[in-house]
Amino acid sequence: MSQLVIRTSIPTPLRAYLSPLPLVATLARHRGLIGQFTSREIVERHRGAYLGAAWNVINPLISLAIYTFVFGYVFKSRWQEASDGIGGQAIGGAFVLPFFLGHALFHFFSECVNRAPGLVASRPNLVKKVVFPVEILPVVGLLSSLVYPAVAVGCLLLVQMLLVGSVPPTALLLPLVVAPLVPLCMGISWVLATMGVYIRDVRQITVVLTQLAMFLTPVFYPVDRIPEQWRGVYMLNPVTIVIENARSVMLWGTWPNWLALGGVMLFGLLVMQLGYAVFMRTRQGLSDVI
Amino acid sequence: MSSELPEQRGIQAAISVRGLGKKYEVFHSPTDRLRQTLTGHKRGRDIWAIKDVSFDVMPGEAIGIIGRNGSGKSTLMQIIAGTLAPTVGEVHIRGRLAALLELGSGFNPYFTGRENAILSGSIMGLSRKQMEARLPEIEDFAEIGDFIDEQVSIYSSGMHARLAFAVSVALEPDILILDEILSVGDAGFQQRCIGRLHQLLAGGVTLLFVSHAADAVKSICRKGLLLVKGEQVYFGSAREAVDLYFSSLRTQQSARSVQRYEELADRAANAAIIEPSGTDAAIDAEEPPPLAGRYGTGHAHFESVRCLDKAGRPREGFEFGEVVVLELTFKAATPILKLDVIVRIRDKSGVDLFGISINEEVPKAKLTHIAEGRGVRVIVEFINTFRAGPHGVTATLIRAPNRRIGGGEGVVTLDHIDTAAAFESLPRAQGVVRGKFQYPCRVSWEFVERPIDSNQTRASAAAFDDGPDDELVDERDS
Repeated sequence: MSQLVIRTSIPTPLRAYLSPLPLVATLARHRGLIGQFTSREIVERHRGAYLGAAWNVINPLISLAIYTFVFGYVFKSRWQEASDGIGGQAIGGAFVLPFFLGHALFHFFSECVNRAPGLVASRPNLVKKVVFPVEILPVVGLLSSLVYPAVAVGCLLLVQMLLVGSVPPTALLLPLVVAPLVPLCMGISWVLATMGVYIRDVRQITVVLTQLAMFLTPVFYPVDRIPEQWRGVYMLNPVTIVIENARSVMLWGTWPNWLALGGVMLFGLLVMQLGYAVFMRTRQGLSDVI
Repeated sequence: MSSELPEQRGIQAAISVRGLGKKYEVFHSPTDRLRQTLTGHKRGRDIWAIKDVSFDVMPGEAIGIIGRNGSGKSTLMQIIAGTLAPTVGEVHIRGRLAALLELGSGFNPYFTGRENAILSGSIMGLSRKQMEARLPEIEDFAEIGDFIDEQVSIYSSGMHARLAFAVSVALEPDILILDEILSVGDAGFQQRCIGRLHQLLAGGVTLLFVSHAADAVKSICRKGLLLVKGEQVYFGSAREAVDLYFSSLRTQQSARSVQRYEELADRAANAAIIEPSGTDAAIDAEEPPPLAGRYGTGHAHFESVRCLDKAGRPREGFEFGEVVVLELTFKAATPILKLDVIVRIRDKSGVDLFGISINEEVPKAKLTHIAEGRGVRVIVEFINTFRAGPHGVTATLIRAPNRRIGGGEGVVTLDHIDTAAAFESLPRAQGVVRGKFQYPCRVSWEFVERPIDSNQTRASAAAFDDGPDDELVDERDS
């Protein structure tokens, strides 16, 4: 006889989800579903548009063009390290590369955060009408948000080859450097996905907060613009650590700060575990409020 | 019903529901909800969507869940399916469960039918390959043709239903929950669904079936669960549950009209037609639990309904052509004006063959007023011309609309008994009964030499007048 399933009013306690085991089990059990949903999500996002999935590539390209224009010709900004890092003097349009890399990584973070509150809230059907593992929706959201930075980094490499003529070998470390951002965003997505159902305002709040966060992160300016006495606090921002180290390996060809990245990774894993626990603990009540 | 779980008795139920309840809190405003969560002070109003529901479903059983809109059927199904958490009680489930809670809602509108089928499989833990192997069967059953490769968002609701049903069945669940699935499909599809459900049941699938289609419930399900305002009113045979459901519908209607009637009666100058104590609750308390299919206000009630022969002896079997004497006695608990008795004869499938109202049959001696405590005996005689088989007598005591005190108010059912008495029509000794009953008709026939068609003039028809007519008469006489 099949396994006995008991449904009661007593929710599974939070601590049951505080171990990595159920988390990994969830991801493993639904990997097929996650894969199908993700691939569909990437294609579907631009469904109905004449250019369809091509927008996944066009969007980062347009951003790159805008950045080049705004920072190169309007603000005429110069990245301090740029002259030292990227092939010395004649870097042509390469000034845009640090901006663009920062933008690509921050875009991933902000997209995850801004989409998360609507991931479950916009799909009442999957909560109420079908027996569906809604906990995979934030995973799908995160995976499909990876497309933008992936394409953007691809464009960046091309531009770098064209303008600078070479890419430092440390660029191969980029996936490792960026990796800590994934569990961090995952955890935040899980929390925001369930919060977005209970409190609809979360969706608006995240938009404001990510805008604020963008200016607290070295996307449009180098870290050394921050006054010395604030630098210590400023560098506690995990996204800053990831972006700065990504610039190191991609553009300056220097070794990343593994200690700081390790710290971000640990923090990210903790956030992911907590986020998962919060989502699973609150998911039972989702159908009552959605 | 025993409160211990069946597994404790050694039988493994597919589904055991114990003391299940679902409470919703309704808040005046979202702020109230937030305040309650923060402070713990109660600000909402409780609404129990279902309350204290307990039943067991054995593997292979089919249960029909019936009730009016808002009686908690869907809530119950959602809790069993696992999309909704109960407030109290628990559900134990053994076996793989597939649920069609609302048509096609499980489908992603931007995926094609085929992709959705595969997704549904993934949710149930079936691999893409396994699901692809089942696709021909799904396409075959759904009969939606090339639409299988179109986005589900362009499907009609019927197509949704077809695909959803086909997919659920193809998932080969141990337990299948169908909530109002048949209502959308066309007749042909419904028939195929019912056929398929019978097959599944024969194969040992446990079925929970929510439907307003009483016939479908009776035909598919052996057991029925009746929910009224979230409460489990009856759990037993499906037939009984359906009958009770219809009775409860009428009772609620008549309870409403009684209420209205009493309001009006109060206003009327010569009030006291109906005692104020004569509410439903009071009647429920003083009378034994009502029979299945008995309802009414009880201001007057039948004491006996019997089938007699011409000599006045109780009888069950009646020959074809024999006189059946129905004797009904009733008593009024309060003085009642404009009383009427309706008698209907019903065949075994529940079709009313004919019915009479005593005031219409005897217009000259109308039963217009009955004093409190008075008994009345009504005799109805008719000739048994029915097809062989059991027949039922349905007796109803009504109070006709009283224009004097309110005008145009609905009929109040004082007492109604389905199958108050029954008799058996015996097989006809000579000849057969070709319909539900033999209708008395005058029949004559004659020979005609040539078919008469419209082109024939009166004159040519007249040419045959002499002669043949006599022959016909002769032949008929001989």
